[in-house]
Amino acid sequence: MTERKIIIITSDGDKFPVERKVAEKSILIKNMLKNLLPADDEEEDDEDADEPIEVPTQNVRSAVMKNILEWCDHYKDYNFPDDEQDDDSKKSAPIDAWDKNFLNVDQEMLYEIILAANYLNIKPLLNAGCKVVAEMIRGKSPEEIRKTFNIVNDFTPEEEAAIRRENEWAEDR
Amino acid sequence: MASPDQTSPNSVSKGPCVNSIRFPLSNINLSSVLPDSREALDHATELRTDTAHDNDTDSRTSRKRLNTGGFVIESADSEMTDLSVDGKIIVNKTGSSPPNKKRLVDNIPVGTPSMTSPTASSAGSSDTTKLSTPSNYVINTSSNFSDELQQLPLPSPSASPIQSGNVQELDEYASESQPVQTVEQKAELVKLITQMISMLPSGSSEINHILWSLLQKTDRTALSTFQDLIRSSLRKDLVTLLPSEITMKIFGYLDYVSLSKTSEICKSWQKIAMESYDFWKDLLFRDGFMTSAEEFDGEYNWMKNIHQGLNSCQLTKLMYRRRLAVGKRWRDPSFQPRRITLPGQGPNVITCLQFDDEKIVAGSDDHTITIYDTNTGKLRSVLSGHTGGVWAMKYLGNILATGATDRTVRIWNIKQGKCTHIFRGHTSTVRCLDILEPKQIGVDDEGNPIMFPKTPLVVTGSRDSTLYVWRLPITGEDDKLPDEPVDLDENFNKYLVKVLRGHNGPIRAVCGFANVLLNGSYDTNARVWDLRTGDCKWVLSGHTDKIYSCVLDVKKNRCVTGSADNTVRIWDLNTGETTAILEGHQNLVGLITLSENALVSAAADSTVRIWDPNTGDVKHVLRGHSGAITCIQHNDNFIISGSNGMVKMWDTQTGKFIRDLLDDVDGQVWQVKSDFRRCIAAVQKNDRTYIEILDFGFPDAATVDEDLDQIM
Repeated sequence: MTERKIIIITSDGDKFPVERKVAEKSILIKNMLKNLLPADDEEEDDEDADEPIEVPTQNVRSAVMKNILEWCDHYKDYNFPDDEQDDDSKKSAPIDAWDKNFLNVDQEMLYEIILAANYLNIKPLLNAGCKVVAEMIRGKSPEEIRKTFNIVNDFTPEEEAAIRRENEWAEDR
Repeated sequence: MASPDQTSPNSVSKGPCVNSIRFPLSNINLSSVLPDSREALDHATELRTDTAHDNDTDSRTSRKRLNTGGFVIESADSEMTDLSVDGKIIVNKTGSSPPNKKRLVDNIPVGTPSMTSPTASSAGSSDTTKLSTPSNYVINTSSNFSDELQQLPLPSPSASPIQSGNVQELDEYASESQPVQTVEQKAELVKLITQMISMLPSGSSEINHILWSLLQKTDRTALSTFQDLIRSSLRKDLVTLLPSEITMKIFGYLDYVSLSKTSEICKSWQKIAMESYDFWKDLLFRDGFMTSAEEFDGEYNWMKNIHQGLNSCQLTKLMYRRRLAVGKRWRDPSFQPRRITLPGQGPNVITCLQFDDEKIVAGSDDHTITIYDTNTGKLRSVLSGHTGGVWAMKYLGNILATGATDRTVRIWNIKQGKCTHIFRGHTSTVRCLDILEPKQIGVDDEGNPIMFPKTPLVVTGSRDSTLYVWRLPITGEDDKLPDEPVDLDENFNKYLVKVLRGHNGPIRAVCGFANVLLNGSYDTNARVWDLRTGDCKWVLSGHTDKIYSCVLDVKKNRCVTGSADNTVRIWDLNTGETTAILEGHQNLVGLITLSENALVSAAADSTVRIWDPNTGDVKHVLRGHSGAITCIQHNDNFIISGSNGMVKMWDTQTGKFIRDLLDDVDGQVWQVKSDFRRCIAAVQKNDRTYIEILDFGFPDAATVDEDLDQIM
């Protein structure tokens, strides 16, 4: 029996035909499909078995979806370990090199990928995205961090001095 | 070139009132810059866009972003052109367009139908971040560049309505396919185009379309520069803009230095940093400063009492700071910890040792257990009753279980210093024991947690080759206890749950968690038992000599054993198979300890080895002892090891020697135990046994900030 086609429709109306295992990297879509396609084999003699299944994703625009699907495709044959509880050792693990390169995009795109990964429930991608942002913060001075994120310092000099004093203990390792 | 004819002049004429018309290009000064029309092609044209004075909010934000990224365009013929921070754009006019265009086409696939006829989408003109660009080309191209093009908050000279006459002129230009030749024509054209563009709403699909057309005519170096500019203008405060649960995740990946910095950035970051105490709690565990929830809760409540005014985040941050400060003292060889030396009772061997903030409990081969006050070192009580040397011991709260060569197991109420129960059944020395506390092992149909064991168990292992599982009799600190302990033999003991049989040799080591029990035997096998049924789940066979030590890794469902065959083995508890054989020790491996990131073994060959607990690869070999290692303790930060005459401290991560903790020991080091601030060692000096308390947490770094500052 041939697999039913899955078509992901983006917020701006684009259609992406995808393999099921690619789409199922998104737990949201996986659960959606589970409801639509009860058991994989039986009762599949419906007339509409040839009809592709359309999956609308209201919150993701096409350019972002294209990236998300590239990620899903890269990992389609990889089973991520269940990581319900964020393992401490994983937290200090470096970002996967492929992910790091994949997420080397402008901040707008990174922002949208993180939001989309969250919405589509793709934990490993969300984690990688968060790690990339954390990496942008790590080891930088406050001024450098502000510059990185276009942030205006809204502390008064007195406030800033007080906070800095409070944090002095963490200055040198 | 497509003309923006979808937007009729009528529809754009409603905008800012006509009085405010400004022509952004009015101060274009071509003639002064370009003395000769021939040379014009090689010179720069200055386009002052003047967005700085624009009242349009969109433009102002855009300009602000622009300011962050002043940069320089190097044109094809090495003329330096400059797009500087005040919004001034100087573009080098490089020759005619066809070759440039060709290069661009090489770079970015274009020419999809949607580009030549952009869909006039209804995108709101005010929202520049939610454009509806002709999206088809995005799918068809593989370049990230096209993604970026969709949402440029670049300065747009969105000035004002213009007379429609200009539009017609432009149409005339557009209809001619001939490239524009003269400088005058160019200047005029630029003027017109700019005016035209200013009529369109910012961020509209029409603007995107025009931008696209322009980009097609841009050369690679300019594109490269624009890319930089675009990137920097796309910078935004991801941390504040993302939903809070994601921000929490991001902050959760930071180390303490960066995490403390987050509160210095701006008010909204400070708020996020102060919102959750989990960051610091996580760090306390991740950095190995704490290992159990009980330890955390205990200290948290204690700190909360001292610092009533602080919120939970400040408290955990302070806890972290305190641990960090104490950790630094350990690592500083010039720091002398407060030391209390307690005389033991003669030359006896301290066989087991356990302590907490209140008490130190030491079992001895002189048949007694001695209890000291941890803070003062004062003797609290001596528990006697065993008629043979005590060789196994563990307490849980106020209840102590001991095993001795007299073949009995005794249960004690520590506070009252009294033996409450004697369990008989073993037919030889009780050599090892463990206490298992209730843990959640699952969820029932109604979602309620399933706990096992129901009440704490004590499991004892003996030279008689058996393990006995008993319920631990709990008595309160102030309960009225009978004068004599309850003496129960095997047949009439309601506390006896199970006898585990199967080994053919003495049981040397035992440990358990929830329903899983692991033991190592002199019969060269280790066994894994399920305490719910008492069944032996695995016989772990592979060692070729006596097993002396074992540890469980519940999280990863593995265990580790150390043997007299000089090897350490890692076993998979899903299969009962050996996953790694750790070779290198030259003599029996008597001691194994495991922390999150390190497996440490100590052997009679006088070395300590650090292994990667996941792969079993050796990471460091610690040399410096001159005799068999007799005791060891470690966490992810440091290792303390003892051998005849020495107590040494090492860095767990680097394997480097840090310091000698005691330098006046001349005999055996029987036991060493430590927590984050104290090291307790049972040592021999002049043939007498002493207990040494080294306290790195004194003076205490917990009470006030000033104290902390002093010690940092």
